Order: sequence, then C-alpha cells, then structure tokens
Amino acid sequence: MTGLPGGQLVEDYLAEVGARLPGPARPRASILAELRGGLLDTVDAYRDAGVSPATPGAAADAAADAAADAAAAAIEEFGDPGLIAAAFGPGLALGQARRVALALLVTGPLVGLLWATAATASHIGSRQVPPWHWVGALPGSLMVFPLATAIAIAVWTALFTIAATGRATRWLPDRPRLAPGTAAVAGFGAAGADVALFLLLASQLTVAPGRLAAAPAAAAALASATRLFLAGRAACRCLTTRAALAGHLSRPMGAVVVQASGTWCADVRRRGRREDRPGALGSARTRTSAPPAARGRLKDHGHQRQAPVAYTAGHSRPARHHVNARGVGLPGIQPVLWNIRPDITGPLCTLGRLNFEN
Amino acid sequence: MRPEALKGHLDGMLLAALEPGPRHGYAIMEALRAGSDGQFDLPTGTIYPALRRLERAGLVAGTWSEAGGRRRRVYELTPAGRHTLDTERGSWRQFSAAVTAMLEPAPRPVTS
Repeated sequence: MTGLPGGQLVEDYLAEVGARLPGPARPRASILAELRGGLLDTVDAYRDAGVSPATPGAAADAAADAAADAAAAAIEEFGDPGLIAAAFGPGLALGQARRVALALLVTGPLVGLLWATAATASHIGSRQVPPWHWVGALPGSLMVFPLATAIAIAVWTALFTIAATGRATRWLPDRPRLAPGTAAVAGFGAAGADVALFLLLASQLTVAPGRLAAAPAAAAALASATRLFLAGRAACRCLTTRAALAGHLSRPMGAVVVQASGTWCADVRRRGRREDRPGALGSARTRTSAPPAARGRLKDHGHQRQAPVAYTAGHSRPARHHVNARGVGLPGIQPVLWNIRPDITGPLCTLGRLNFEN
Repeated sequence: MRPEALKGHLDGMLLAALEPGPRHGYAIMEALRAGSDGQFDLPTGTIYPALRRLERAGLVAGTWSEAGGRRRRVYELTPAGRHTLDTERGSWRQFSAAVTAMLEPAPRPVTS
C-alpha cells in the first residue's frame, strides 16, 4: 500500500497524529500500528466501492488517482489528527504514569536491600545503634527524617498512581492529569531518598571511612546513582506529558504543534501553494530560534530545515502545521508542545505550557 | 445524527458491537454503521481511543492479529465487559422508556 500514491497520504496523516501523541515511544508505536491497519482497511473499502473501478484498459495514472482519492476520503472520514491524538493523550499519560510507579515500587526495595547490606557489612547495625547514632551521622533527625519522608512520599504516591491507573479508571472521575503528576512526585521522592542516602554515605566517609565495607557500599551507591538518574528523568517526562495534556485539552483550531527535543522553538513560514484538498501536502521551511533565556543552550541556532506540513482544506482559520523538528537540544527531554500561530510574526512559545492568544 | 448526541453512549455501543464475537476496529465501525442504519456517522478515528480506554478498564481484551501483511488489533468482550453491557442495556431501557413516555403525545381523552 505504501508504494501507491495513497499510501504516502496515509503515512503523512499517521505522522501528523504521531507527532501529537505524548508519552513514551512504544505505546505510541502500538497506537500508530493499530491506526494504520484501520486506516488502510478504510482506504480499501473506499477503493472497492470506488466510482470508477480500474478497467482492463485503464491508464496507470487513473488507478493512481483512484488510490489517492480513496486515501484522501479515508483520511477525511478518520477525522482531524489533532482530535484523534487528543483522545489518545489521557490513556498514554495514564500508561506512562503507571509504568513509572511500578518501576519505582519494584526497584525501591532492591536499592534499599543493597544499602541495608552495605550497612550490615559495615557493622552499622541498627539493632545496637539506631541510624541517628551512627558514627558520623549528622546530629539528631537531620538526615533520617528527610530520608524517611522522601521514601514515604515516593511509596504512597506510587501506590496511589497504580491504584488510579488500573481497572479503577472504570469508576474514577476522568482526571487524566492527576496520575502523571503523582507519578512525577513519586519519581522526585525516590530521587530525594537517593540524595539523602548519599548524604548519609558522605557523612560516614568523612568521619569514619575505615568502618565502611567498600564493595557493598559501592554497589549500593552505584544502584542509587542509577536510580537517581532514571527516577529524575522519568519524573520530568511525566511532567512533560502532563503539560502536553493541558495543551490537548485547550488547543484551539489553528494551533501549531511542534515536536521538539530541546529548549527552542520554530518560526513557521509557509511556502508554496496551499492545495484545496484534505491531506494535501506542501512544505514549510522552519527556522529554529530560541527565546532569549534558552539561547545559551542552543546548539544549532538558525538552521534551516524542511518539514512536512499538512494543510486542511476549507477552513478559514490558519492551516494546521505539523513541523517535525527533532534532533536538537537536551537528551532525555520529551517533545514539548508549543503554540505558534503562522499568522503572527515571531514565535509565541512557553516551555512546557501552551500559550494561547485566542 | 450529531457526534455530540452519541457522547456517553459510545462505550455501550462499542461493547454491543463486540457482543457477537471478536472484531477489529474497522469491523466495529462497520457494525456500528450497519446497526444504526447509517445514523452514527462519527469520525472513524475516534473509536480507537475509545477501544483503548475500554481495554484499560478491563471491559475488552485486545490482541494483535496479522492477515495479508496488515496488523490489526482484535478486541473481544471480557466477562466484566459483558456484565457492564448488561447493566448499560438495562439502564438505557429504563431511560428511553421514561423519555418516550414524556415525549410521545399523550392519547387524547375520548369525549362524547
């Protein structure tokens, strides 16, 4: 199918939906695979019921036209890519939050076990001496309370996230932004616990380095460092998804969705003729430019890029543009949505939050 | 029929479309169209997020199948889905009977 002219229209449509889906790559790929199957089924149905089925003598370009028409009709029937993506958004956000919470709950006890092993091997027994009387521990509850608080926050918010994203969604009120928020809190809580553990280790190393069993302590520290990085990154990603949901919920027609992976935004200039056909493709030249605050972190400021743009026929508001401008910026940051009105000169953008003017 | 009119009833109708047996997205859409005599003309793409939502709630179960080089996700009702469908059906009957009773013109009293 992709070899036919209609196949490219289908792929462009799916790319436009895909660029607006929040969350991790695998569930998005699964959704796009399902949509592709359904869309191709719809194209086939239109082609089979076609106005002029290919006759033995029909020219090849007539068949190609029929295929393109069938694809355009199927795409129109499927609906606005922004609407479809927005409908998938809450589910993707819930799935992401659930996976993060589950991962935290599974890895938490393992990290804890490694630290307990390190403490036992170093003869820092809590039975004889409670942790706040460890050699080198900061006085009183200064270290233990933050650790206990961080662990409690992480565990409870993770448990809440799992409860709120499972089968219970059948009965719970529809609040898709809640779970990514609580999952992010759980991630930051776990990261905070790691920081507290490192402070405990540092105080022990400062005062009585000889008492530490090197190998178990190193293993625990390595596990905590890894978890600190992963939990922090997962929490940031959950927050990004949450921000994207806010955009889906309030995005007006005519908004521009930019998929980007850094702190920069694009100024969209439309080039070429706008074809008056749904799903017709044109092209736009995007110029990356940065808000003043982010300029220092930009790597390839001012590059010119070609990006596919889908024009939607027959509405008076500005055409929706999908600009795929990935590849610049900080690693590990999920696509951020910005609103850029092509009819307004200069970018309008707010990092992590959509800024609408109408 | 306007898509807004379907709001709140789409889940029940998707479950009903799956009652005869497992179906993939396009077949469900066909069933909705055929079952409603073409009255339900909603954007086809919107049933896929709805199916995913039902799957998350444990009312349907989805599995991938491949035929003719095309991957499709086939859904079938779970016992919980069947139960929900029965409940929805019962409450819809009650609701529609009440609305019909209100909207239908009352029989005029016979005067002599």
